[in-house]
Amino acid sequence: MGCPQIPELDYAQLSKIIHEDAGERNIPINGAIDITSSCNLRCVHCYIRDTDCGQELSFKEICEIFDQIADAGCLWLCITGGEPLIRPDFRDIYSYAKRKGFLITLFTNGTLLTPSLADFLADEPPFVIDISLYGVTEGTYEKVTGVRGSYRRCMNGIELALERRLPLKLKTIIMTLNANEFHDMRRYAKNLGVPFRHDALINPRIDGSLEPTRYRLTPEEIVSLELEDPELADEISKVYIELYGIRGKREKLYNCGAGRGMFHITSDGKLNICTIASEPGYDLRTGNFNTGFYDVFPEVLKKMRTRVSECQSCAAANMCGQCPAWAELENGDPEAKIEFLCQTARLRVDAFVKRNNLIFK
Amino acid sequence: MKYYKRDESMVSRKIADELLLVPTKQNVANLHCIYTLNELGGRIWELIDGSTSLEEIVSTLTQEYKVEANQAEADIEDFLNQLEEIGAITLKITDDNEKGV
Repeated sequence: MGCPQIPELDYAQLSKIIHEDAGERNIPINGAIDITSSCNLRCVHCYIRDTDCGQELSFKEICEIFDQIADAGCLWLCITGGEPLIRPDFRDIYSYAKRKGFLITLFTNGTLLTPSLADFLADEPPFVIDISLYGVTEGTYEKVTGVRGSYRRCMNGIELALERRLPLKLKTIIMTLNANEFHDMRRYAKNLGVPFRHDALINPRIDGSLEPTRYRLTPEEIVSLELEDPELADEISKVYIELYGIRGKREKLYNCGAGRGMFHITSDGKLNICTIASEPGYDLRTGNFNTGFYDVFPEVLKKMRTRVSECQSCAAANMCGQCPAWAELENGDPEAKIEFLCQTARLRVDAFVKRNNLIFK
Repeated sequence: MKYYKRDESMVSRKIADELLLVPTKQNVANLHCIYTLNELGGRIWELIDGSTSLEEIVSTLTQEYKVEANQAEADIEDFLNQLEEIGAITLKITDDNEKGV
């Protein structure tokens, strides 16, 4: 009999061990669930609308799903929406998820965070509370969200999260309406001592509407904005230099890792390989998680390309957002190149990889 | 008699080959640690149910692992103390005729 032990693992160590182990065995270690498609904001770029989904899962149905995904090995669970805090039974759902031992990332716009809810979260903290920020002024923020008073409520939510020492992160979507405040948002987060990230790649709505894409910056505008901040440019360079030049055959349609070790569940209980893919749309109301993940997902993931594409051999493929689900929404063809993403990736290669090669390699 | 009970704020998860203890009350991100148990630790964790005494745990394990009770008891108590320190279990001492919970 050896000695029983409790090694304290650094989080990074643990994450590496679990991900390697789970990766080999295809354990669904990372999951996301929309507990609602409803939201109190009307953001212009949002990929989801209340009407996109059928009847919302009940608390009981969500608990049953949590039981199944916990048994299957899910550890990191993102609770999102819609706006998850809008559900009257949010606290019950969250508490149940905590009882299952998930490491919860909560995606929220922060506007519905109250002192009482902040206290509740502080008692059993999430792994991360990730608040979306759309500007540092009322005018800009509310141009994006379309709701008067939402800026003040978001700021209030951020303050509450900080006061309660919740593990807060901020993120933004950069678009035509708020690009002028991008650097101010970065400064704001830095002054608060909070991690901040941005995304400028706006995808169509999952109902196929291209409306959100109207608010995209051009690839040139995106890269020039990223280059304006030397610290950010350095951060991006380090990431892209690692990703650039990884070539593969990429003969399958999905090469991104979606559906392997990860999954997404819609607010009406459909199990998909990722957030924007509506495949396979396996109904967890009538079937169980393991069947969907282990029997149905492989049918989607084994799909092959039907024609040769320049994307297959592109050195920038791993730093490009090209994605079959996105291409289907944008071009009606999962194999078609998304010009916006391709141009952005090419400009980013020039700006962050080639220019800085000598510095970082 | 010594009885141990699992604390409700510590959730155990078996993922791949790892048995993890995930604290619900602490900020895992700031804590920078989640607890993992080896095989024997995991077996002891299974036996901690509030109504199995320390003596019974030792007896079960000495049979399963074919070791001397004296040696096993010291190791097991040491491990239970560690679990107690991290808030994973609580100890209850009762009269000999009284069950733990």
